[in-house]
Amino acid sequence: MTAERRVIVSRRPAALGRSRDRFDPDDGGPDVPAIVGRQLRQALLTVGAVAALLAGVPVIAVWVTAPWAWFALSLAVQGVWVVLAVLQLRRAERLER
Amino acid sequence: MTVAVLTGIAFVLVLGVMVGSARPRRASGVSDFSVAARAVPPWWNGAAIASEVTSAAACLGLAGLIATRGGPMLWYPLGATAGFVVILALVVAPLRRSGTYTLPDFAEWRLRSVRLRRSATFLVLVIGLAFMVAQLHAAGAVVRLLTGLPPWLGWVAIASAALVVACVGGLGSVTSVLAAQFWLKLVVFAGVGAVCWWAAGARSVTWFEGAYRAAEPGLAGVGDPSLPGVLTVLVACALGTMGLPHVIVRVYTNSDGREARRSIVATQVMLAVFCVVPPLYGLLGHGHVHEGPSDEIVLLLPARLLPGPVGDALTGALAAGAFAAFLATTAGVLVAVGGAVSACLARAGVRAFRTAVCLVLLAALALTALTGPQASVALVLLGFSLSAATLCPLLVLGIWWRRLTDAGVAAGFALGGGVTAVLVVEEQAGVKMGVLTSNPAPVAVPVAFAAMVMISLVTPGRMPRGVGRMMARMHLPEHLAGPRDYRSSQHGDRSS
Repeated sequence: MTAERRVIVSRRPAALGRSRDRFDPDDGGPDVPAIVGRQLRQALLTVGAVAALLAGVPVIAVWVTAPWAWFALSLAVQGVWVVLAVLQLRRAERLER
Repeated sequence: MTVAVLTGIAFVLVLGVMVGSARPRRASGVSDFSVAARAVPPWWNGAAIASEVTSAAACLGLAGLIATRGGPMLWYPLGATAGFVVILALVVAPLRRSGTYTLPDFAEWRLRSVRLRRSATFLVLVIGLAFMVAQLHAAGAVVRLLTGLPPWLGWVAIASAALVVACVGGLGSVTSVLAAQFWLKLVVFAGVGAVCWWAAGARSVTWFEGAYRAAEPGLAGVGDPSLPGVLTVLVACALGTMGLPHVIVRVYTNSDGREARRSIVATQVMLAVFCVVPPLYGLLGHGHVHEGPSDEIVLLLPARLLPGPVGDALTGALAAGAFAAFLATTAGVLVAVGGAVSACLARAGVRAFRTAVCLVLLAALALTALTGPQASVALVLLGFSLSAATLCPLLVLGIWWRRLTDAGVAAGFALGGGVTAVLVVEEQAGVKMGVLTSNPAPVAVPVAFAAMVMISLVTPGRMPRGVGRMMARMHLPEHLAGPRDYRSSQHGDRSS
């Protein structure tokens, strides 16, 4: 055994199966309320956009009289849902990194 | 035509049963289930979810409504697909990470109350029965319309095929049945629709009127072509999707929250493609089919546009696609509701699950026989409304609000479910209370949310112990959570 290979352990390593019941930011654990808050804000943004569009498109259609425009609008909004879903997925995953 | 139709139906039922029992991947324990769970990639699971959503209502009912009631019905498909964006944003990843398999499991785990589990099981049972009765009625109508045979033959065909799929295969094989049937439905409905469009091309397209008007709504406010009537239905669909038992149980087929989110996005893409079908058939039906109940217009279309053997073959293909839709939704709902009921009544196990499945199916058949033929969209919408008023507040508040208590949820269930039941019954009895109550959701959902929040605030002592740990388990991504926090399933998980 050589002296160079000795490593000074400054911090006690986490034991296997250590209890993770305490999620204390000071303890180095993740801050759950902050994570929940960030995710909730992002989720409410998406849900708000969905609600605005879902109520807005039928209301706007009152002033549109061409039937083909209704047809096209109903298909276009399906595309918007896909875009919103992809955006929500990417943002939620970025928040988790 | 009878030969083509019966061949198509038999093909779909045999295919469903064969795919379902070819890989009997029944999970006997936690580890088996995890292996099965990892074998399902997101796009495959997404197709299975899309398959359950595109039931009789989406394939036949919506097109019929668009044909008979005109432009305002074009917005109906937007409601259910918007529901999936809401699920993605608010529910899916935390629910998957909680490790609870069904909605009753979630209620019991989150609020530590066996009584709530029972009420949630009851709600899941009612919603599931509404969906199954809609499928069985539609199957009976297809058989009667196209072959002249008695409707109960259609009920029995769907019920027995769904029973075999649910009992022989586990959740893994139900997934493959559902996913295979989604592609079958998409190819059949889009293909036949394209041929019909081409056949009708010589004659000019008859556009329906693009305007709202007042008309008598049906059960649960369905088919009301006025602006407020449409908006009430959209609210019910967007919020009710998250409480549908067969949709939520699919989330569990993925191995973690990340994958579960991805399968909901895959569902969204596939539904957006499928949603071309109802407006297309609605437009063609509006121009060329002028009689019959709304559920039958799609099936009458090919023979009307292309008389002769080609029309007969196309009708047979449509009948096959429609039966794929009935079988997919019935089997999916049966597995989900059977799992929930068996876990509530007896010790978890394969036998209890099979018994529960048989009982639920018998109840659905009895209800179908006792009620007259109903429009599929109305029954499905009833399920959506009840789910929006009871299970949606439970999920949203349970996942995001730590101060929720069991007393609050019980009050929310009672008020939300009660208001929904009262409004539907008085609507059927002929008491008119204005267009805002034709569908119960715009009244019942705020009432349920308010009841849950207020009763929870006045009973802070009933907050379950360990809420912090529950929130951490639901919201911490897998790589931050320790091995003890992540569980792929509950102890003694269900047989499916």
